[in-house]
Amino acid sequence: MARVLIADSSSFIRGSLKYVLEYSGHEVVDNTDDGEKALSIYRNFKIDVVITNVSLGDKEGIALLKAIKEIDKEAVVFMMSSPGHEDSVNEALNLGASGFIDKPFKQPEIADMIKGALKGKK
Amino acid sequence: MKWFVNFSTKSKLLVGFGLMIILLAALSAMSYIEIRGFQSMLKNLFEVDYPFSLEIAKLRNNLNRERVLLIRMMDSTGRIEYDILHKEIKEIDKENNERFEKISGLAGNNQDIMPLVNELTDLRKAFQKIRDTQTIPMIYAGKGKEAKTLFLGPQFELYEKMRSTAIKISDLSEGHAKEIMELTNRKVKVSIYTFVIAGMLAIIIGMAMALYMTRIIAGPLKEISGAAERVAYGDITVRIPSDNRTDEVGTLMLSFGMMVESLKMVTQEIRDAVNVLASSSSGILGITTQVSSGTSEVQKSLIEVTTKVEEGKRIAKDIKSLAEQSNQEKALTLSNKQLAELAEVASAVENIGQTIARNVESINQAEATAQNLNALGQKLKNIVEQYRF
Repeated sequence: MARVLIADSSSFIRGSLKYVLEYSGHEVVDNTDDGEKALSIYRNFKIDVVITNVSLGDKEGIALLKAIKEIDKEAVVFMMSSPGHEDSVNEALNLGASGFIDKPFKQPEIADMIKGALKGKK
Repeated sequence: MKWFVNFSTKSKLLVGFGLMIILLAALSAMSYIEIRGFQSMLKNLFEVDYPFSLEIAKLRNNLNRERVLLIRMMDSTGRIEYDILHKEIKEIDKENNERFEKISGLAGNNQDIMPLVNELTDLRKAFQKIRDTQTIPMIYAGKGKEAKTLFLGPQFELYEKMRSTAIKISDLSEGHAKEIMELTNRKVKVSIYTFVIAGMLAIIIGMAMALYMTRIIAGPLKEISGAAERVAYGDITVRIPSDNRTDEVGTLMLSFGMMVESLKMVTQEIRDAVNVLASSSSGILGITTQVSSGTSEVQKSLIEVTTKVEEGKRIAKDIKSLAEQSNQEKALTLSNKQLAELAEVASAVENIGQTIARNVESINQAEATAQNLNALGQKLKNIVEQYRF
């Protein structure tokens, strides 16, 4: 079971993702549409996995990824985007993102990605 | 049975109905094989055993007739009578030849009957040989008495052997037919039991399969439709059971759960925004009241300013008039007094100015609140737009 933080500007996506993660047996510590808030939660809570959208309201997902990686190089951060964001995919992967989740996502795919990332971290 | 639950609904239905079809096909195949078995037995009984018994009975009858004809021939005296009886014996003989062929053919590979048929054939040949070489020539030679002695002697012995062998064959054939009948009856009983058991098994398996399918497909669908109905009436506190199944029903349950969770989150966001809006409205009301009282104060201050300015004018006028009267000393005393009054007027005007500045600040605050409200409106608009997903 992982402690997960969700950052996405769409409450619909946050709700769906929260349900999928809880369904897969993970704990969703918090969810937010704000990059700064996400960073603050990451700093103050023990978070195993961060799932963030490429674009957030005030802080871009890539910027959030950079900030988290500055705090912990081994942090597991998954980026999420709709199809057609190949540039962001490459940039995020170069910055150390653990993987990319395409929307619309599927429960087994997310469960496998998190399982794989946590296994690799151990 | 988790693996079966995880099959796609199409596969589950295929397996369920496939199993029923296989059971029905197995039952049909069993029935067909059994019926074919009975048919073959009946055919054998009708086409082999029954004609065989009939031929044996006719043969025994012919052997008796032949014996009677020979005795009659021995007792006859005239040649014409001999010829008639001899001809009849030959016809029976010919008929018996055909009968023996049929009997040999029908006995086929029956290892119990075939040796007896061969034995009967040999006995008949021996009997024919004595009859044709000794008995009948003796009769034609008028030696009926000697012929009778021969016939009742060694030939009678042969005849008796033939008769007893024919009876044995007949008994064996009858026993064989009875055996087939008993076997058929036993098979019928076994078939009835088998069909009853197989039929009951098919019914039990079919019912179990139908109930299981209802439980794993119709049950969860009923639950989801009940939950959907509750959501339709505005209750989003519903909990969708999570079975961790990967079939279409599982996907539907998961998707529905995701949808309800999203709805909860959006509703919460709207509720928060409405609360912010309500508190902002209270703020606006307070500021409006403040602005209103500020405006009254400004009006009051302006009246005061006008009064003070009028007073200032009057003082200045007094100073001017005194100066014109060239009463410098009096004018100086008076002007000091008037200057103090002017300073008071200036202080009052400054106070009024501060009041006006405070009111301007309130108005600025109102403007900032209006901007906040605008941002809030934008956020609400964004939330509403999410519903168009």
